[in-house]
Amino acid sequence: MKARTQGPYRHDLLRSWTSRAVFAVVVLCLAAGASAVVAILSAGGSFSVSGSALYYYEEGAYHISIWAYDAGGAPVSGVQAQITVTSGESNRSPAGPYELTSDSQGEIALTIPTPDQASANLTVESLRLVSARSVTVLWGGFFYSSPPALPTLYLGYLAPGVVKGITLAVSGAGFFSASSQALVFAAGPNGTLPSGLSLETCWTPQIYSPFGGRSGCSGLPTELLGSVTGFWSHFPLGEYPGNASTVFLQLVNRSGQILDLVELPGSVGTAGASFVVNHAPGVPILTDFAAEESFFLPMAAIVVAYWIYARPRLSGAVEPVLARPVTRRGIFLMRYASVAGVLTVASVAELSVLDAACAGILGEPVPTAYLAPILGSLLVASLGSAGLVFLLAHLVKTSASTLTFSLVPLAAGFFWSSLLLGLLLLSNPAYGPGLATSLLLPTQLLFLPQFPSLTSSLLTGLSPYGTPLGPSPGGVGFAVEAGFGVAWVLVPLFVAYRLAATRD
Amino acid sequence: MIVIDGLNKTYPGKPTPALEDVHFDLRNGEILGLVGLNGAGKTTTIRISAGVTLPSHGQVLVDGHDIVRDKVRASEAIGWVPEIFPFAPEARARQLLVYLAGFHRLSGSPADARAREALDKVGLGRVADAPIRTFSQGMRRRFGLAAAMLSDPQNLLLDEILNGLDPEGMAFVRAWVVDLRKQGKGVLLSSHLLSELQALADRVAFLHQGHLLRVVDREELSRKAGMNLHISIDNLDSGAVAFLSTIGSVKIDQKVVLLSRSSMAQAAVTAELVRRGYRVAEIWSEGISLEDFFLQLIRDERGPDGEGS
Repeated sequence: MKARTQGPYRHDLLRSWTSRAVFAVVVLCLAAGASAVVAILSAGGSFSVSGSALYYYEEGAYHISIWAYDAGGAPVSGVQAQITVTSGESNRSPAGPYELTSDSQGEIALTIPTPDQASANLTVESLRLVSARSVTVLWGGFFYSSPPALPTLYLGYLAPGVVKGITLAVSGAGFFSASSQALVFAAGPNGTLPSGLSLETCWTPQIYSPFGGRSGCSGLPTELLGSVTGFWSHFPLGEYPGNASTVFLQLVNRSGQILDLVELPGSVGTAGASFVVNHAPGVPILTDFAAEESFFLPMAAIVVAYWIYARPRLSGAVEPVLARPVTRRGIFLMRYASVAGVLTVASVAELSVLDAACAGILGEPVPTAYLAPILGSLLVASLGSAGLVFLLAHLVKTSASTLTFSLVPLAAGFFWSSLLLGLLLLSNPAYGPGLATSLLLPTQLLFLPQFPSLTSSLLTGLSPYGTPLGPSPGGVGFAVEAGFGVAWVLVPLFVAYRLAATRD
Repeated sequence: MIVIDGLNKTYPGKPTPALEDVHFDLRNGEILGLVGLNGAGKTTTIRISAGVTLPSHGQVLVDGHDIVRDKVRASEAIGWVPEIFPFAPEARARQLLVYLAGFHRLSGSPADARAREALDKVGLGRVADAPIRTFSQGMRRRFGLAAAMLSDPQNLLLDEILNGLDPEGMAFVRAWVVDLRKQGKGVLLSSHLLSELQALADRVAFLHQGHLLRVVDREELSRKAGMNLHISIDNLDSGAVAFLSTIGSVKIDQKVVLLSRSSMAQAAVTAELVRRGYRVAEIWSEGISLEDFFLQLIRDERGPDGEGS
């Protein structure tokens, strides 16, 4: 029988990939993935929204509507809303809280009967939305307040049959599709029909994203309002590119003066409509993900590097292999390659779980521009930790010492940001997250497990303490981080390689 | 063939070298015994020759290939059996052999067949799938032999493998080693059981405190350390004489057999006779033993004032 042949190094590589260590890494990755999903679910579970929605007074009642959409523009049903409304003038107006749920069109409709209070002033005191998914809220109305947040929406006095302002409403096809229609309300003086007015629709590529994002605005075709009959009408919106999320409508007269507008987001002292999501859920998700991976991936790296290289070397179990027709360098490199392969697959898998979970739960995947930096930081944290284990296997005598010296930096690195803040607060209670933030970033470069967290901060502009970063936080940017990351991976590896080749 | 040329080894943190300028060779078709006290450098010599430990200076040429610079080619001609075979706690016998066979470009069923064959040869076929950690010392030694048999190497490096073996195991190793010699292979065999080496080795290299004292061939050995056995057997018959004749020269004086140039050690001869049903009333030797010879060499090395040279 002719023997099948296979290179000895490839043979060793394949053997490593079937070891129990890889099983352990898979278990750790599953735990990390599940943890990421839970983090996303919890981050997307509650949004506090300031403001209200389309409102008008008609037939003895105020009507308020809110529309909930996901990041892709699709209506979200099942969003729970709690609205508290009180009277601005007297206690005779109805209050709340009103518990409502969005319907299949994403609409949350509230009717507040005021049969004998046609001139009541109403104030929306609070509006809270609870959803398992990330939600964009559109609302409109004529309000008097100032951004950034509107803790109170003052509806003001409305005469019977009068609707003020202009407001977007969205058809079942969704706001962002070409077939969308806008429901426009316009009122002339004393509730008369508007005449000689036109409606400009503008689109801005300022895309709502769970992960934030900024861009400019461009104009869209102007629609004459002449076709509008009555106080409201449906007409098609313009064709918008891709994932357009912000549209504002301007009601202008013949001289081009803007009489009213729907502006997203709302602007100071301007009548219109707006949406506010208090926080982009992607930011805490990335922060939580980075914190989890600060533990899981370096731990997986230590386990797999210890199992595949350090333990066989320190127990002598690798000696029967070294006595075979192989070189020390070859075995070292092949085992590092197998460890690196496992950890790269694990890192990609972790990121894929995050990406898929964001897409499924938030309605939008992790931005493409984020993927490479995040993956890079995961690889630095994992491959760097593995390289340290390889190095320790040549510097210490026992397996226990290797594990101890591997786990201590992991623990220190994992808790570093909390530790730094705690030490600062202990030294002087006046020191807070601000000082901690300025000190944190440069020191994160000294701890391998901190790299995912550092990358997350640089991407989102927020430190783990929730404080905003300056333009060049502590002199640390992606270039500096990448330089340190490469050094963390290559230097221990190179030293370990030299020791493996020249020392027993 | 292995040529050990000016071998030096100093372990980090150790003030004295483990080996210092050691020269000798292992020829094809011979058994070379390696003798020394604890710490003499026997295991270090074998580990360096096996490519497991790096020398500080000097070189080991295996069939002309340097074990450091041309490791792959050199290791293809080496089979190493350590005194204690190192293995991962979860390792199973056949599984580990299949893995090791992979380094000789064998995989799948050919590797499995080779592993089974090796295990059968050393008598571990019935426990092929058992964890090695459950093996006795003797079984682990046999497993080491099986691992060395995987590639059918030209040179065998056997480090104290006779220690802890039962009589059956020793007989197996003895027969195996003699067979290897017949096949023209070189066998470097270190052992504390000097009587065994005396019976088996064609030459013996004496190491002491990292220095090579001497390499003595069989003729000189039998001349200087020759040993005659006097065996008194109650039920002596032609069968016993026939057996003893196969392992040495026999002269009979009543019930006492004088066995000279025996290829078996005294203990082994006794054990074999008893196994064959003979009542050995008495057995004694005359002449200086290999052990005496070795101790004399050490005394010579230290010189008349007891100082090392």
